[in-house]
Amino acid sequence: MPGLRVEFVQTLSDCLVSGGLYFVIGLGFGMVYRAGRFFHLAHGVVFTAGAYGVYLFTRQLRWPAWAGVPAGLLVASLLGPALWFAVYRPASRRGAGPLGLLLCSLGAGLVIQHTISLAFGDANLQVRVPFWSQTMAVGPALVTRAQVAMVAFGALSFASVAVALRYTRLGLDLRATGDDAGLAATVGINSESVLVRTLFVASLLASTGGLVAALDTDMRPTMGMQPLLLGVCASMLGGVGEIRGLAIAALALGAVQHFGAWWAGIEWSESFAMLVLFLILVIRPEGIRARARRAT
Amino acid sequence: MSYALHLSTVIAIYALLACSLNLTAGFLGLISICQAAFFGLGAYTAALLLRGTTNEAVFVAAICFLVGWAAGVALSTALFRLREDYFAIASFAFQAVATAAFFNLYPVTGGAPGIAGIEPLRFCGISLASAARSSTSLAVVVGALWLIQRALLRSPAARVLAAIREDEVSVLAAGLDPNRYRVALFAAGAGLAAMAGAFYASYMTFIDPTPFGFDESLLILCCVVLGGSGTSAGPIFGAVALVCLPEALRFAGFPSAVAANLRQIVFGTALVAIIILRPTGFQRADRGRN
Repeated sequence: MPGLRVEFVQTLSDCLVSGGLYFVIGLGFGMVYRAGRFFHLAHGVVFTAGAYGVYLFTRQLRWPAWAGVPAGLLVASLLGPALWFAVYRPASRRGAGPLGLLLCSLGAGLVIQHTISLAFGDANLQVRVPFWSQTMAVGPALVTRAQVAMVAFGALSFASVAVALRYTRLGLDLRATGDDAGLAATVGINSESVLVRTLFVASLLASTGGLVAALDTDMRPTMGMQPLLLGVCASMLGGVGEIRGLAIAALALGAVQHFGAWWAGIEWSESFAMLVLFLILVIRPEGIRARARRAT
Repeated sequence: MSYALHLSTVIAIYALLACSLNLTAGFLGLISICQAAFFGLGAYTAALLLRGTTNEAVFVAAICFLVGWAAGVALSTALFRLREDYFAIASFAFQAVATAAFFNLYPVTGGAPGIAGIEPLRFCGISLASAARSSTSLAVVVGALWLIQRALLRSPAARVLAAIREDEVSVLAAGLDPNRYRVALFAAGAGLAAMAGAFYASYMTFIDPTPFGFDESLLILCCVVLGGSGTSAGPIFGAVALVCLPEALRFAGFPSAVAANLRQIVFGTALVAIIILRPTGFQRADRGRN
């Protein structure tokens, strides 16, 4: 059955594209959790802000792409550190625990998302350009350049973050803080500065992911919600800080989502992944809880 | 006048929802972001019942309560190992699954177009269709709930609840099982939210998945946190304030699309502000009071 084979390969390539996206979001989310021990749920709107930031500079202000794209991504990437100084730090200084910070991140996410809505409208904005929408054949399947870019970006961030964690000072500090914040502080690691820099890197990953996703599927102010949920899901499934585990989890979630949708209908695609997150939390929450306990 | 009555019905529904969440979020410090899922569960159950089975208010409300209660028992039993942020995340996942179910289970929920022409509830033969009667009956329910919560806060059980929230080990040492309290209160809250759904379906005569999503769950949580969680009257005031806010924005002359976004911005800011200003306040609001 050639039709079935085409569909299979097409679904498989969708899995890779979604998996790449969830990996990038889950990676940043997991790094922030590792450095700060809280759920940074505003990470989803940073993703959205990346797409809208570039739109603002290149389309509305008509900057050339070489200046507008980095400018937009930079603005979105500064959102993470800005949230730390404006929201998370005041809250945690006044004694808010992980739950308080989670609620803060929800509130801050709400504010940013609806500010984007106010500024750019609630509707879908068509930003796809012919160059990135052009399809190419991968075996019997057709993929767009934007989709290839998403997979490539996922692979690139995997490699660069894996290397950075191992060989750079920030990577070392981040691993130390994540393993034992108290001990890291006694050897002179400034955990706040580690967290701020981690937030910047995570936001850069997320906003670039948002830009690539917008080139693939256009953009809307709510576009960050679904990747955020699945990124969270992937980082829980893979274990926070386990970059290989995260990559496998992200691809597995993409597979669950797309093959589930193939089997049950497209409208259920998200629920399969949510069900997986729910089941992981019910059956095996220890994965990251064990780490959390050791650190305190 | 009819506008004021409509508004008071909506306020009463949200007050009921806020009180239902207050049972776990306020009394036990167990924050869930899925109250709107139970709200929707009740609304769809009521819509099915009102389609022809019966429209006796007490019966429908009781069935909806039981359905919500059963779902609450199941969910909280599954999640009782999780605390704080993990519990919140898991409830978030549950909300996402429920939203998908509301949108996609066409035979039961009618999908995105929803269910129209729902018969209103009747109480002893009197139809509760009008806003005046809906808001009166809801006010009675909310008032009763307020009295129950007040009594609960003044009873010895309040000290157990506070201890579960603040120092679980001491509860275990006293030979009590905290999870029993957690499941009981969570399920009661879920049942009450489902009951609010029954009133909502009956009053609106039309339901679709919009009011049962993540945004509404967050709104209900805001009502509790802003009003003062763990207090008996706080969530009711929170509901009044947050339901009136978008109306006030509309009267101030903002177009409704702008007002909808502004409202969310105000919610978000308020949520952040309250946690910065009273970081532990929303978990320890009753300290020194009982």
